[in-house]
Amino acid sequence: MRFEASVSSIERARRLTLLEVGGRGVVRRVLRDNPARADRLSALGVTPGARIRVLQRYPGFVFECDESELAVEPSVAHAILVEDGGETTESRIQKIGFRRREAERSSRGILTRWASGSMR
Amino acid sequence: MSCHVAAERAATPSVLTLRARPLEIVLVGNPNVGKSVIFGRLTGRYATVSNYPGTTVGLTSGHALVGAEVCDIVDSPGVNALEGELSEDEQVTRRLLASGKADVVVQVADARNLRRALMLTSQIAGFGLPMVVVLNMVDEARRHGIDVDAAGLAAELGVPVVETVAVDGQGLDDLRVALLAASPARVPLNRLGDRAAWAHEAAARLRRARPSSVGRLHVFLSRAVRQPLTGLPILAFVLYVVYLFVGVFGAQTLVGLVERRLFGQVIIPAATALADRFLPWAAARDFLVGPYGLVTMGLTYAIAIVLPVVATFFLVFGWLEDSGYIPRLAVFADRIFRVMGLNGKAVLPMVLGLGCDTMATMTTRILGTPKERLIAVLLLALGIPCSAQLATILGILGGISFWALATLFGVVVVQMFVVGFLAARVLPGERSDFIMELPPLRLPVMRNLALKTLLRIRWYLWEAVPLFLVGTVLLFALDKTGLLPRIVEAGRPVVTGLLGLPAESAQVFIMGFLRRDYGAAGLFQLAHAGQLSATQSVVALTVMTLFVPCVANFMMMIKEQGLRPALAILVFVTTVALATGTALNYAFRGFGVQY
Repeated sequence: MRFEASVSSIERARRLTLLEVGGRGVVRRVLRDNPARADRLSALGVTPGARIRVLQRYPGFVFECDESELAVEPSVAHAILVEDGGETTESRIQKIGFRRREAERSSRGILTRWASGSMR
Repeated sequence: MSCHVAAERAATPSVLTLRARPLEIVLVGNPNVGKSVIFGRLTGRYATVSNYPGTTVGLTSGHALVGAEVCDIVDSPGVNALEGELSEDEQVTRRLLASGKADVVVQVADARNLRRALMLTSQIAGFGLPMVVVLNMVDEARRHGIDVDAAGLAAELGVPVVETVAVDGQGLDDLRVALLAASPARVPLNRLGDRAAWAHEAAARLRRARPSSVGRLHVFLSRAVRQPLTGLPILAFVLYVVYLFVGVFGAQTLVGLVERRLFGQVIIPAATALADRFLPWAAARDFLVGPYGLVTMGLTYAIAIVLPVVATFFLVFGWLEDSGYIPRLAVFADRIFRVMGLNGKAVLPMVLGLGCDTMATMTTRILGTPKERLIAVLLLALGIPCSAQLATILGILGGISFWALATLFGVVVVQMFVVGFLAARVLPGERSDFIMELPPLRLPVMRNLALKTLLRIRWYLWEAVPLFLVGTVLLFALDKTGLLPRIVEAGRPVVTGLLGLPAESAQVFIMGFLRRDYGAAGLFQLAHAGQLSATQSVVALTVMTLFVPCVANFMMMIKEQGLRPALAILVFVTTVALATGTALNYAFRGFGVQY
């Protein structure tokens, strides 16, 4: 059952490079084919659950991750998997307020933790 | 400002304990969160403060009164992580925490970015040291609609949490009190020990975000400077303003005032008159006011020709540093730098090199791999002119023509490209991926800007001026012992033969080995005396620009890379410089170029 959950969550994830400028998403996971790179991204806050908004795609890939503005080369952005649809959810939650978001987060947190744990 | 947990514990009077050495308090935190500002506020000492990650790459220490005892406070380079793959400057901090010398850790956090701060907290907690968490820049966070539940955070971690606005000094008294109540943090990790998940969950619980409509101009500017269509014209405009301020106002107006008026009409005549009256020995008079005199040459070069330019440059450069503009250039530079085996992050040491190559050589620590650091050190030594030298270049060539300037910079840039391209292929190792945080754009705080500029000018006076004087004494000695003409003679085949310069310029190159700008100042005087033609000026300045910057820079290269690589760079760079000068000289003659 757990396996199915992880597969479906990963299938919904897209590479960050596929998002348009202004597109939003929530980090699902970071590919660990290059562990040093994944560690650096994680230290900068690019970890499962972080909200991302694409600011620019050329000449460098620039995105906002929570409150940080990060610039990366395209291959790095390619290794970040995001779940889209964050746009509508997030903006709606912003309006409704903090409590709803907290509730949303805790329900999402279980999957998130499991997905990131399974990657290690 | 409020301080949680600390208050009740600190209420019990602290007992003065005897220690073998003062308590050591270490400031640790993510890059660009204001550790150096807090350091300055606690100790009264200034550690350079700027608005980009990597301003502090070494340890700075000072003293502060905490409770009833004087403690050592240490400012450390910013870290994103203390485990896994670390950059050189992150290792400096890690080693400090692991050394056992640190007694208390103060984690400085950007209140806006709680999640990242907590990731780090969980790693600092691993060292088991008593700690205090400082939520800095709470004013900026509130403007962005972000509130952090400090009391909740204190309860979660079991350590004092203090809110501060360090630039205004708010909350610093609370911090002093909280330090007495520092205790090891307990981080309730889940059974997988997943820090990211804990940080994420805790931040979501303790941080409240309201929608805010702050800074529409801020968002607009921030986008404008990093998009090619608007960013490149803005870059051109910024460079033009810097040129106007440093190249025209500093190098021409101010230098004219100081050199011709102050030195030419007041100081040198007065010094000469005094020497004539009180010094009966010709040698002593020459030592002070002769052709290689301390006043006529050493002080004139250092104070009249270089200082005005350095001062104006430090001012405008400090403004750019504090605005957060420089790191945004990395977005453009990344693709170009990748060809040279570097990534966009290298824009920081390269641009800082325009201020001072020695400091920039130390800043290469922020780069990811040994290969990148070596290439950056090499390119800094080869091509990046420091402020003082930039000044003399603008002073001499600005007076000739735009094309003379364009030739010099064109040749230097192409040379850096070629060397970087080859180095990327010849040297072993890898480059790291370009991943860089862009700090928020901010309006520089005038107090910090003024302080930083004044301290840099003082640094120049203490560091560079003595070298100018030593160089002058050396030239004086060489001249008096009759060695100088022999050296000039020995250098003739190269200087006159290959480079096509007058033989006297050999002495300028000797000065150039000591400090490039000192040599360039010598060229400035030769050019003013009409001894250099326009094309000769271009050749001489190009060679000088390609030389290793100065003795101090060479020492720093040894410190960062070791003696052998530093010597190899020195020999390589000198060869490239002379070869380029020769090629340029023959090209000028062959095509009959005139300016």
